[in-house]
Amino acid sequence: MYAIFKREFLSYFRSPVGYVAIAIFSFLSGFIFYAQFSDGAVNIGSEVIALRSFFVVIVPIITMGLLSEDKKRGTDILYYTTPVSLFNVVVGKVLAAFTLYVVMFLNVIIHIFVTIGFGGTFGIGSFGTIVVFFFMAFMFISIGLFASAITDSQIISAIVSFIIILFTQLISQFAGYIGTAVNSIASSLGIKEGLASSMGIAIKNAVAWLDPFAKTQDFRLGIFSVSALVFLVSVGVLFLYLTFRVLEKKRWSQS
Amino acid sequence: MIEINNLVKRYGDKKAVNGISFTVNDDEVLGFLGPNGAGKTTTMNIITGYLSSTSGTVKVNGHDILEEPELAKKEIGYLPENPPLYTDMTVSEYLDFICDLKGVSKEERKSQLEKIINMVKISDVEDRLIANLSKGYKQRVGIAQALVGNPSILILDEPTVGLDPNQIIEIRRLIKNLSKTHSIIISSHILSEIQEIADRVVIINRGKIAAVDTLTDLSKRLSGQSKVLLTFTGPVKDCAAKIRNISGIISAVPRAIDSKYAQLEIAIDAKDTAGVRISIFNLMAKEGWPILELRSLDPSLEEVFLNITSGKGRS
Amino acid sequence: MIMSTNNAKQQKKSSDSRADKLKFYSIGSVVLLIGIILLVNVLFDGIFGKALTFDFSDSGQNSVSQDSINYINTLPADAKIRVVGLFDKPEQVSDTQYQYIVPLLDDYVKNSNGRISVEYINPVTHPTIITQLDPSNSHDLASKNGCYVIEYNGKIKVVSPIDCYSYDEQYLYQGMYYVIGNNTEFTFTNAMYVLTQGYSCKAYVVTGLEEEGVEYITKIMDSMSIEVAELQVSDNFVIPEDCDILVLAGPNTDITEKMYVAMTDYISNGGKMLISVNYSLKNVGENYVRLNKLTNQMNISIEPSLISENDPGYQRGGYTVDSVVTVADEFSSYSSIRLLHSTYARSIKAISNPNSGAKASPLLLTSNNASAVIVDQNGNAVAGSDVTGQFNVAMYAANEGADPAKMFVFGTLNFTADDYIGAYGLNDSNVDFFRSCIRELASSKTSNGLNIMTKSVDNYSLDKNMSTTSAATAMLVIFMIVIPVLLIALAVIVYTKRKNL
Repeated sequence: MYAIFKREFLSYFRSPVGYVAIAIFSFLSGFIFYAQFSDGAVNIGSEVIALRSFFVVIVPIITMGLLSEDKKRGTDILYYTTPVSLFNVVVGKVLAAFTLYVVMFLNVIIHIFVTIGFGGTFGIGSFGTIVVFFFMAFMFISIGLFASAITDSQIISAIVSFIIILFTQLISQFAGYIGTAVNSIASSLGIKEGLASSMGIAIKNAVAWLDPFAKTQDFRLGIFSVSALVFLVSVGVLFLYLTFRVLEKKRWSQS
Repeated sequence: MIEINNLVKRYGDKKAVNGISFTVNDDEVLGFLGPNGAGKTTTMNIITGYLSSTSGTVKVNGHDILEEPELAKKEIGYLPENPPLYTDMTVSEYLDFICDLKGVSKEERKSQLEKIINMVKISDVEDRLIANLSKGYKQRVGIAQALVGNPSILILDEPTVGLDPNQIIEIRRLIKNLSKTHSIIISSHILSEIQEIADRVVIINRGKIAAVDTLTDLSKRLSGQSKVLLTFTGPVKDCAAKIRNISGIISAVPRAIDSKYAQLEIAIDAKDTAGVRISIFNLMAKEGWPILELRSLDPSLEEVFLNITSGKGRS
Repeated sequence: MIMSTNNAKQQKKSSDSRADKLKFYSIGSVVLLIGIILLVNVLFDGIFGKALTFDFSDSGQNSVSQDSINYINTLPADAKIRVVGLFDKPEQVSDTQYQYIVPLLDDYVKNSNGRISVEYINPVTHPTIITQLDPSNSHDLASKNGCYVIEYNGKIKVVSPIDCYSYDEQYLYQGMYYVIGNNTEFTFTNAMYVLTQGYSCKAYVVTGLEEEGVEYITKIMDSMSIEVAELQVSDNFVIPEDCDILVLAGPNTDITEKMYVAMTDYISNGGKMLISVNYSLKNVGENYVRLNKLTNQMNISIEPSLISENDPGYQRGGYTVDSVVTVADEFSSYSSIRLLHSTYARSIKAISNPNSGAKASPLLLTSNNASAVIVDQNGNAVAGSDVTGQFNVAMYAANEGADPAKMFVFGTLNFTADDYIGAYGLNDSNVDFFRSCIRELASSKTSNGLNIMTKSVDNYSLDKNMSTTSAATAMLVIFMIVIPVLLIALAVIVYTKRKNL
């Protein structure tokens, strides 16, 4: 696991990818910080929340090559034929991408110190948003890694993870549409009005339940909900396991 | 030692490997021969644990690859057909990573890498990016990769494919060196390549073993005759008749005649090909038929297969 | 033919049992994991969700404070307070005006031992709720969509979400006022308190003199269980009989003759008044002649001059018109701190009116090095009008005797205006001081009420002296240009260097 982690993490800095990702993050966070600073009030919490909307760009960049490149180069054979376990490979890769996120986040740490230096506040709510940020980063990186495992093209992998992450960001809106769609389908199938609409609402609630952003919104107020974090971790672990299974599949797949 | 027992691998309807069994003894070089698509790579992938077999067992020094994969994999160094090289790393970074991957301890690492680097002669490219290396060097780095962790068994899948003749000779010499201390399975679809290094040969075709033999036995099977192609200017029929009279010539068949050149396909008794060739030369000189080319027509592996499988090879 | 291919397929499937086993194990384990994850999440969400949610916020935004709990516990066990939201319960409260309200109300229910219930009933789908809550339709509930109604023993009070926050009204951000304080608990607990305890006295707030807004002082007095009503300026202006306190907050025009007469009458009968004016460009030409005549009866004069603080130790942010004022020793109990905040203050002077027996005393004072300046319509100081010394920003006067007339006169609006209270919240020391003044006026008539704090929605302001434009530019340059460019440069260097290795 350490071997994989070390190689992947260092490889970000052996190629321009790591620098470019950090540069993009620096620029975006710098812009948000500057905009707040010039207004005379800096809320690190809202900066971090705003930065979450860039997962959709940054995560695909840093995860797209993690496994797809291995397949393309043929280096994935090393994971199967050396005495490392595939699960450790997966964990090592996620850790590498996650650590890159931590490095990127140093920007925000600097912003925190500047804010405090300029007489601003860094409260428990801001801390809450940071906690959520990292749990989310883990979850999205797992998703990105999964997208990287199912193809040997970096571009396809990036597009897939982009779409999945975009979907999670818009899940609340989608929930509404899906609910309406279910309702109208149900009623067109001749199901009673009341039942159809409650079916629609149930589906809508079920989809909306998946929204990681809604679950964690209270953290910025300083309200920490363990169950929200459990959700993020478990989705992340699920995708890690799926990734592991996709890799493992190569051994027994008959096609 | 590797014991392979009744190995089968299915891809859908197709059986890529169909009931292969053989054993590789300690410090033996086993040539693994077969035409493209015969199932060589699949077999090697199964032995190294990359693929799981449909049925059958592989035991590496007594460890079953499916049941004790980590112990088994420790014993194997594998060079796949495409060497698994991270082109974005330098050679030393790459070998360091492989050491991490195979769990070579920090203390051993330095001496082991030094030994390997000297053995495969890549010390002059240690700090260069793998992407910028020539194919021969890349292959050597691939072999170095397989040697990390001191495996007792090396599995090399077509190690010379795509190399130029000089590089082929280098790699061959290297493998010969390695064979003193390792059991080696080396695959190829070129017979001559194997001839020089292998103690024993396994020939497979369409997923099945066509022959398992030592090299001398194999050549005996193939023996009886050797063929040359003679291109010259002169009357074909006369020439053929005269050549047939030379002792040691089994047959001489005219081929592809045009106005300027004539060609004869000549089968020679294998016992004294050099003497026979001198006699041919003397004859042609005497008759005043200038030889344009005298080319050996060694059988291709496919022909060997045909011979072996149909039994024609036995004279 | 078909039979045979089927057979072949079956054979193929059954013959590769190892791959099938692995496949089964693989898919099975994924399904199992999804099941476990769903179960764990539903378990955490549904069962432990509430218990494993911790309010670490400094002010406990979503938790009911001990003061409210104590009050609720004083209610009889069978008391039933019903809180009805006149809308469908919002599923998503984040970034809406309900984001602090809905969770807090849940906490009320949790802490009330069944005394408080919270429901959400949309009058559009359930129109009967309106007549049920307000049979006389005196509150026009049909127009109060989105509000909460609190009902106790047939009496109701309407709470709008807007009442639950304080806003920085001087600072409009993207078309919205910045929320700087969360008064949800303050609003709800006080509304319940008033419903259950009843009012102790009544205050009238005069409106119609171009004043600066009286919403917050209304709310504050209401929370002190004082019933507050507006008293409109009109041609037949009368001060009602039940008036215990009369508030004249921030008029920009003078009172009418009729009002003067009514107020004089009120004062001479032992009336209690609180007056606040200031000296801004809106009223720089207004000398409040009739109002002055009124205050003169209590030996107080409202001067037509602007207080300008010259002592840098008193100035706020280097402004002479935005300064700190000290509470006079006599009134030190009114406030926990002695330094309060005054802006654009009019000088308030004691005079000796031979016809009055009132004792006037300074309430808020400037430093010894302040000046009073007369300013013209354009905001420029009139030459030679500058007088230096110590000035009063506010005064208090009272007559002798039992239930005497009492009067507070403030030369600044920082104790009454919505602008100020909105911006600094209900916990501000100025607001505290205002409460003390009202208590003085209401004296024995009011109970102490509850003292629920504004929960500060964190204030993220930077130090204004440090966060200058040039500092902001430096941030722009460092964080948006220097760091990214350095990183890109590093990327280029690493790339070119390694490319040629």
